[in-house]
Amino acid sequence: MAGHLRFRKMNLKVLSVVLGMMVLAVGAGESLGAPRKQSGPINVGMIALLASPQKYNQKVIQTVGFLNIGRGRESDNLWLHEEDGQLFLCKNSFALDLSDDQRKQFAYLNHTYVVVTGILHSDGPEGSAMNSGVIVNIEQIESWHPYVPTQPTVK
Amino acid sequence: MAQQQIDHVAMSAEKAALRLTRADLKKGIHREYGGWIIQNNENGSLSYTKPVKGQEALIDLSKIPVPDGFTIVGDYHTHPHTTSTEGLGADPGDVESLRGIARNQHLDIPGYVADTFSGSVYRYTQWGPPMPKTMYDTNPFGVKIGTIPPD
Repeated sequence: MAGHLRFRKMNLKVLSVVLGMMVLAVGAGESLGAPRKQSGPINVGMIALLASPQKYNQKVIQTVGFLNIGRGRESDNLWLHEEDGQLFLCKNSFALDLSDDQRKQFAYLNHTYVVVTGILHSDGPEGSAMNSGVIVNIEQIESWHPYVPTQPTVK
Repeated sequence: MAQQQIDHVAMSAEKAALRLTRADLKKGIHREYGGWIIQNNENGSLSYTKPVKGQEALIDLSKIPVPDGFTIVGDYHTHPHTTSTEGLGADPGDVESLRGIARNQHLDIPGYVADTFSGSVYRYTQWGPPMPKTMYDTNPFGVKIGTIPPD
């Protein structure tokens, strides 16, 4: 009986600690839920972006993909993988709205993997457009180096 | 229905679309225009839907409604080109777009494209000619059917 009472007292202690933690968590949740300012672009991978582009609609994003600057602006795309463009898997791509100057500026990066920063416009993954959306207001395209082999040292 | 008849209506559609695309380009706006070439189900006459402005770097024709009592027999659009290096005719994306129409709407229709720089109008199909090898193919696709000079 006494043992049972001690167990109940201990349970009450545990319960009060748990309740206290819950109150703290709720308080913290309120502060976490407060509006936060996004400083700089949202860094997101192409797979996440292609899976739920509507989540990033109208937002400044930064992602990595395979760059194709075509012969005309309408052929400019960012692909998940190089192979997706070879196999016409267009939903695995975003159109790129590049200016004439940008097309010249970034031509040297054509057919390489690049980091693109811009604003995503998308109707969602099931949109009727051929690709999954378009990246506009492109601020920057930079080279992505997955592997840079070093020269062997000659002794 | 003779291909020549559709070509004739396509030339008129492209003329209307090129005028709008060229007007936008003068303001520094690069936008494609396009629409459907349609046939009246009752009397078989051909016409086209008014050219509609596309988004930034593309036009989604599937968003353009087809009037009741008409059947789609082709599509048309423009390329807002300012230099000769941007090329003539259709690109792999255009051909792939027709493949999408064939897959989703079970329609094997011709497409027409005209670029603002040359004014050349090309007819192409999901079969080419020639067939694009990849989306990175820079060859022109389709057959030239005419030219629309600036107004």
